Amino acid sequence: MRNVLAVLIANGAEFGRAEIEVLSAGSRLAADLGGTSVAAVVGGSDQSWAREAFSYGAVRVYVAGSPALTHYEPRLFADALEQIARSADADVLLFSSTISGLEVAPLVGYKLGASVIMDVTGIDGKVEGGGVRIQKPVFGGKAQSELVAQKAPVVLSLRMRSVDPLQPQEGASGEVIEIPVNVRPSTGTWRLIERNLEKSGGPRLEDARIIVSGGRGMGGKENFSCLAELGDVLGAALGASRAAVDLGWVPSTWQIGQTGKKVAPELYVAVGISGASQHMVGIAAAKHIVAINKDEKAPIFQMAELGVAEDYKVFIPKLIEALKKHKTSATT
Amino acid sequence: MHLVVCIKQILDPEIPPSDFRLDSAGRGPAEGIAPQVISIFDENALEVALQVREAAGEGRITAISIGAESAVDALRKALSMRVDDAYLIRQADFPALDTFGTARILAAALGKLPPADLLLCGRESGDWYGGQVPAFLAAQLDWPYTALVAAIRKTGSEWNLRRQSDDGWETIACSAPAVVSVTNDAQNLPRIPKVRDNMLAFRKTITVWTAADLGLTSESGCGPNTRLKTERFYIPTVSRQCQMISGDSVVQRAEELVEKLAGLRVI
Amino acid sequence: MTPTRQVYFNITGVWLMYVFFALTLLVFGYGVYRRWRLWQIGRPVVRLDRLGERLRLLFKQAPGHEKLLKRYSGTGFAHLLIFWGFVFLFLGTVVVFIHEDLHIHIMQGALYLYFESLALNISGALCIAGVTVALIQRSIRRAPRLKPDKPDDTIILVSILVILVTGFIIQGLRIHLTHDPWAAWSPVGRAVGMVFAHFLSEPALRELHRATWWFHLIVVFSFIGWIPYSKLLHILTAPASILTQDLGPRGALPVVDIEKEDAPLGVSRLQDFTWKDLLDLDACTECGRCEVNCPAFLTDKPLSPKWLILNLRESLHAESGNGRGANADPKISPAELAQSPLVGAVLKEETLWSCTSCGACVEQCPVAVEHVSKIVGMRRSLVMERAEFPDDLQNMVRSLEARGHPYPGVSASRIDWMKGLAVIQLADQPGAEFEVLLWVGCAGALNQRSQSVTRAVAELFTKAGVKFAVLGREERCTGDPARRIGHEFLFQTLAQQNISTLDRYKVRKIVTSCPHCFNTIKNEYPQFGGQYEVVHHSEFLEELVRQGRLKPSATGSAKVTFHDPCYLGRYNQVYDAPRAVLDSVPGVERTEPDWNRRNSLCCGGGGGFSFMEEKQGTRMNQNRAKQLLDTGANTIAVGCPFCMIMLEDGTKTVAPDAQVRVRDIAEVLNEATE
Ligand SMILES: Cc1cc2nc3c(=O)[nH]c(=O)nc-3n(C[C@H](O)[C@H](O)[C@H](O)COP(=O)(O)OP(=O)(O)OC[C@H]3O[C@@H](n4cnc5c(N)ncnc54)[C@H](O)[C@@H]3O)c2cc1C
Ligand code: SF4
Ligand code: SF4
Repeated sequence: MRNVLAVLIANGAEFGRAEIEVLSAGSRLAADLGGTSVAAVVGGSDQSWAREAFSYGAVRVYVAGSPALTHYEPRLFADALEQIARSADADVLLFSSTISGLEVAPLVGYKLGASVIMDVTGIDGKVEGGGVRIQKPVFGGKAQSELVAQKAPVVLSLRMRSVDPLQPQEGASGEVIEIPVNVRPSTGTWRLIERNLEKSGGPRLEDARIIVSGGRGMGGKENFSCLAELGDVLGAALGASRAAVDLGWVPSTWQIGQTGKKVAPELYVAVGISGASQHMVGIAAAKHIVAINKDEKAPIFQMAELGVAEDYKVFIPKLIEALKKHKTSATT
Repeated sequence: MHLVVCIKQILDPEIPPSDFRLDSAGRGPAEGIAPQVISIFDENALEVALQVREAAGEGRITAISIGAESAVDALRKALSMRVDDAYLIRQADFPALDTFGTARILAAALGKLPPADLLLCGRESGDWYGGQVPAFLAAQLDWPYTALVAAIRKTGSEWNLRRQSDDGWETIACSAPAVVSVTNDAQNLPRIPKVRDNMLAFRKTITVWTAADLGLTSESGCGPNTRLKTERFYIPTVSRQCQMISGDSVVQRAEELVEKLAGLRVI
Repeated sequence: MTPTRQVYFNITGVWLMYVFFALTLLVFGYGVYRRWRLWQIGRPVVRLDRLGERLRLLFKQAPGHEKLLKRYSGTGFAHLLIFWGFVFLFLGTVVVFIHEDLHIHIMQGALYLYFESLALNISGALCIAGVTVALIQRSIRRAPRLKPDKPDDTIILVSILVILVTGFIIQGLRIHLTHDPWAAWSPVGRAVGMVFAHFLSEPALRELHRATWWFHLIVVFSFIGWIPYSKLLHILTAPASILTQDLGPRGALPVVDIEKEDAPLGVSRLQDFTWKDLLDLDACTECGRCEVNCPAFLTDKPLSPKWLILNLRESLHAESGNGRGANADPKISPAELAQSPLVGAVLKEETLWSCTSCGACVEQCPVAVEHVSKIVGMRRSLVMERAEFPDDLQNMVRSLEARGHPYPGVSASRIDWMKGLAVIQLADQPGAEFEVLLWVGCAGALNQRSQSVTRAVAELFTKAGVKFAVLGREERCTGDPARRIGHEFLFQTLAQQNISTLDRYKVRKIVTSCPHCFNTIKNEYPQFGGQYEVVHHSEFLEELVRQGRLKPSATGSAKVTFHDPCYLGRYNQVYDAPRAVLDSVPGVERTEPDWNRRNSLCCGGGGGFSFMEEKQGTRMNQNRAKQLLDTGANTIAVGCPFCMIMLEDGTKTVAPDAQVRVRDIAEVLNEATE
């Protein structure tokens, strides 16, 4: 197994984090396997996508050449990708677990007769005797499955935010190959008739990667501005305990818990929240919990991973400063 | 109108972490550590099908499950929600079953039923999160496929599908017959059956199909995913110990926390 | 000369009275029959067994006005006077009837002097006082609980007043005109006679006597005839309702036979109530006592137990074309109304979902109206027949169905609380010997806060050397939340599972720290063959302290107030044990909230409310927390996991800065015990 094909599906959105992660994972895996990292671009995109792919380590970019592919349609895109995969002699196909990835990856996998695993959180090529090792949490994270695929082809979709992006190599270039695909007229029809973006300042609570939440310990409506600032720095959505909702400090759509929203962020920062079980069931799926509470005996510390026993009014401003410092040092 | 819903019985996903144990072979969870339930997204799929039938004022709904004998409970539940017919396909006939095989078997079962206009599956099973069966079915049947659908309307001869997208919602029109995978949404929370329907469901027969009934052999259950080898299957140790940040000054504590967060790769 | 009097002095044409009386009886009889017929549409229920016990209850509750006097003693006392006035005057009339019509001359001698004259005079006067107080209360200090203002109520009081006053006038005039030698035995009558004699000549007095006599007669007969057509009906229905009240344990809801093929599940129409339920509707005197103690009503939920009864009554009467449901759609005919579902036409769904099943209304009602079983009956129909109920409760039901506990999403296991404690789990050690089974309960096992209460109980048991065991993973919810929200099917499934587990381990005695589990296992499991000795941890701990097996020692001082849980107090009359446990701890100074014991106010956690959001009005837990904080206590002691959650949240919201802790009695005792 040597050839890793990173699949980029252009479906109306700009080149972004999802694509960067797929390309980065593809290049790393190809390096592990001692093979080549290539990319495929399908859908209505411009030249810039290929350039980006090169900068993240792809040596070749395959472009599907067919006027039928300007608009996204799962079966057509799957057909195109099947043909590209065959002509590129791809052993491993990597998709992102975006909506189009979730749709197209298994369709392509089926056509190729590949081993297919969806929504994996880690891959590497350091397997004795060759092959790809795949990590996938199952049973709600209560168990972890580690699989090895030694026979090509393999189709994988990568969970979002599971891959560290590579540093892009400015000006890197490579070969763009247009594959004249022959997408078969389908038996049925499929078309997008409407697209609504959910525009709401920050991300939706249910989808947010980071959530900053405030409880009764915030002490007042006005104090939530300090959380908003922290949320801005972290790129987080804002949530609350029922106590804060009840006190009229925040709208009820912010409530997290048994009778509120159930959320699954990677990072949950609880500020001035005691950790009542009705609140905690809402964040059972959170990966990392940080608690900031001035009472070191608060039950939330039994469930948090990192704890700060301190008045948030003192701590949060310093935390915001430290985060900003971290950010500037990370980008330079 | 004929709607077919594929459902799977799984280990209760809400099993408390401290009750979760592995079987002796270490390949999956031990038996009997928690109740068996219908996979959550499959329940949403059932609910969507029921809503489509209600809106149309007519139609039949069939539920199919591949599973152990205990899966009749899942089908019974579907019947109590007022699905018309239920079929259990004996999983024991397919010892090395993978997702490809599952799709093949379901497609064969579909062939024995009156022609379907819509096939609904949950977006992924709530235990192993395969997330492939609906797409494989669509590929096998060569029907249009749409993932993460939350609500469905019939408009003329087409299906009108409202589905989750990466950053909002999309509406898709597709021809019938079609395959959809259903995701959860406030509007498709599975209904609570009426007690009378509950009792009626107990009197209905659930047809059991064997491999032979479907014209299949035990090998039909195997596909390319049986090539995958499980190298490790384990319970990750999460230290529930809270690490208290204890630097000397506030500034130090803030910096320590940021460092830790960076270490966890969440910022 | 034997003391007596002439009955029809100065009256001619007495036969006319018999004609009037016959007419009155006809009108009266028809009125009662019309009601009777309406009660008959209800389902059968056995309520005339154990008659001795029933009569004893009737004579205990009615004559002393036990319940009326427990609250609002002012109006209660007024009613007591009127009630006894009526009893005496009725007996007086009976004496006249026996004497005059049956010609058994008993109205003479001591009976005439002491009873017929003196006692009737005094009771008549007191009755007038009672009526006057009641009238003043209605017109001047109008208690909101007495709404609606209907002219009926005032007309009734005024006519009683008229009857009594004219009675005294007639007596006074007779005494004066006949120079009654026994006048001293009728002091009020004599005084009235003297007043009139002062102003009028004798012939005028005779005329007046005759006129008043006929007037009095007509008012009395109209009054009697009017009884079954007005609120006065309660003269008949109140004792009937008290006599036929539920004698079973208060905490047990009636069983529904789920298996019965076509029987309706729960109550959707009037016909689905029992006849006693329908009798209740006519027994209600609109006194409003139920409303005043209702946690839902007090926090502006769309529920008043009194209006619930009155609305149902109006719809019942609509069947006979007499009155219409207040909330009924005017376009619906009475016949349609009777057939149409109650919920929607007569009552709002939210009304039924506002009840915590705290039982305060039943406890307060002087005429034994059973509100809770009616509310649950109607919930049953919504949940089981229509499957329409609040989302939060649907999630709870799903969780109960799939995993036997009502907390969707909790990730704790039933045995997490016992980490570090040596506890016998019967599944692991089926043969183990044990004195008592500790029933942990879902909250006790799965709720973070309650886990520490369970630990405290287990530690106390260990300290006292009690050999105890738990079911552990095999324990299921008792089914209380399912039953209270009306999901009888689910309740029975859970109950049967638990009973079979308990019987498998040959459990005899059960201790639990949850009053809901306590009530259900103790009072409801026997309905399904589960017979155990069940005690609340407060009773068990009290016993251990009394036996000296636990010796609390001083721990400084704390001002403690105890909040009575509904399912421990009102439903099971355990009031003293928890207080005794607290009092056994040196340094505890106990205070009582104004509303305590049977008048305790619900925390807002029962009847499904621990699992759903209060969407309307203010919060019940804050309301109760205020009352408890007003005692000035720094520790609020509870004996129920729901109260714990509710009051902890309530006190923090009401008084964020107060240094008040909410603790279970077991925690208080454990901390003080070596
Ligand atoms: C049926 C039901 C459903 C419920 N559903 C939900 C639900 O969906 N979601 C939910 O959240 N709750 C729910 N609750 C309420 C829940 O029981 C708790 O009451 C609530 O979560 C408490 O909120 P809190 O942690 O913000 O407040 P508290 O418990 O009052 O905690 C405040 C915390 O802030 C800390 N603090 C105070 N000042 C500061 C400071 N300056 N700096 C740092 N820390 C400080 C305190 O030490 C304390 O620990 C429900 C309750 C019931 C009965
Ligand atoms: S049981 Fe309690 S909440 Fe329900 S009506 Fe009666 S007093 Fe009100
Ligand atoms: S139900 Fe009972 S307490 Fe309530 S108003 Fe009627 S008589 Fe009074």
